Amino acid sequence: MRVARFIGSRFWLLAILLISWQILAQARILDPLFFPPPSKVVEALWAMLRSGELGRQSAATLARTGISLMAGVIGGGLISVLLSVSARLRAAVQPLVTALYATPRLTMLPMVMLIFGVNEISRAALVALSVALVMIIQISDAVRGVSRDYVDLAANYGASRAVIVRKVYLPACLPQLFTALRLCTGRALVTTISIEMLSSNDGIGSMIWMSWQTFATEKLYASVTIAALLGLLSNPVFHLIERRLVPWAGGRA
Amino acid sequence: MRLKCSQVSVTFPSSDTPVTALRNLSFCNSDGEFLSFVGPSGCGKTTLLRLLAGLLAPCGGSIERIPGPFDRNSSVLLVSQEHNLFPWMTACANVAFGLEMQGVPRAEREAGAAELLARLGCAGKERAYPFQLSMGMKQRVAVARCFLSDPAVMLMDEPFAALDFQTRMVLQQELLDLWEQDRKSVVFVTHDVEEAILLSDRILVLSEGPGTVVAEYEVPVPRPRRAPIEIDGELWDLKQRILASLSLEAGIARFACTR
Repeated sequence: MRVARFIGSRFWLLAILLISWQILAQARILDPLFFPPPSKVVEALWAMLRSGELGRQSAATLARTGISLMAGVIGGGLISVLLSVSARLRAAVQPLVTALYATPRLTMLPMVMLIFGVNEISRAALVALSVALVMIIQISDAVRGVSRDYVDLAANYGASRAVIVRKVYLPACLPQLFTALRLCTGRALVTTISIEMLSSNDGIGSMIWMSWQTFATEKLYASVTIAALLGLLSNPVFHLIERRLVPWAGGRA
Repeated sequence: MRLKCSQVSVTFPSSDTPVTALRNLSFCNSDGEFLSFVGPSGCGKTTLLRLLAGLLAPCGGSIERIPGPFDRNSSVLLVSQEHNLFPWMTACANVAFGLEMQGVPRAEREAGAAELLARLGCAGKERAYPFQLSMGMKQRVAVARCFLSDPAVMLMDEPFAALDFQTRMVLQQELLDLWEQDRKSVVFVTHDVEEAILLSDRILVLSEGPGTVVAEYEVPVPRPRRAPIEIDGELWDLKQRILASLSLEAGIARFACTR
């Protein structure tokens, strides 16, 4: 009952849109060549699932996303720690990060390919870079946001610098770290699929581009739906982990 | 422990005009004395406590820590007005934090913390996080942490200022009870003259910023004390004299500003 109400409260608008779309397409008010009715899209999805194409392409995208996400989170995390420690390094790196962050990620793909070649390493490197930038910005922000009062409080009780890092900075930054991970996952998925559209023989992005090139509109809609679903599903996973690991943040807005 | 301030000055650099928070402030408390500072807002009370806690260095003058015969350690701990609990620790872990820093094993420090919390009427709140506690509970936890760490001097920065009248009265009594058992040196800061009279042995009046000591009063009330105390007769005179030195100070400052 609660589940039903939850789904009802979240998806009523989507349901109305889909049903109207179905009716309009069937009545030929919408051109089914451009706007195939949802039932046809579902059929296409089912066919792709049965042929194994869906699984193969999703797996390719997820593997790319996962590996580059990990590399970017770890790399970006380590860089953020260094930046938090050294003010001199921070001053020098900050403009670089800001500039890179403001540059559309895909414009850097040709340059990355010049360096690493047209291969998986280039694709992973670009995704990892864009994840690392989000990490650096979020974590630096979190560290700067740690209240001086808590640092003073620990120092007053005789805590050493190492203890202050472990007992104050780390827990104080934890909620924003989870936000960062959530943003990074979304960013990694978006960047991976975009790169696949430009330069890849497999993955969801490539599937979308191929469907467009061959004007297979049902498959096109089906692929975009899968891309949307992957993004949608990554969010609640992090929310669950966060609620477990940061129970004290319940009072935060 | 005694804290001896001699001619202490603090100036904060600022972009346009540097702000002098304290100027030539001198005082010395005695062992086991409950000493209060009262002063108008902006008289540098918080700055004074941060200095005494060692979180800030004076720009001029000196602060000496003179150990007393019964001190078990040399720590000077501050209970501040707000942001004084770690949001990521339970009430129990917050109270036990001082002992944790002293290297006391977990079981022992948590037992001590739970016992003290129970005495302060917070039984059952050990596992609660600060966001689940009321203001009064939070201040109890902060005071409990300070007491459990057994410092040589306790510094308190308007710990009850944000509380409603009834809660404040209850907490004042709890503080009196705790303190009168095992008299430690306390330096208490407040803007509430009656609170200062209720709690203290001696009251120093600070001038409006830059702060310095302008008057000193003994509080002739025997201990143990019960809150609320009747402010009449001798105490009413005392309160009027303190208020007079406060408003005289404020008046002088305003006069100086308008000139």
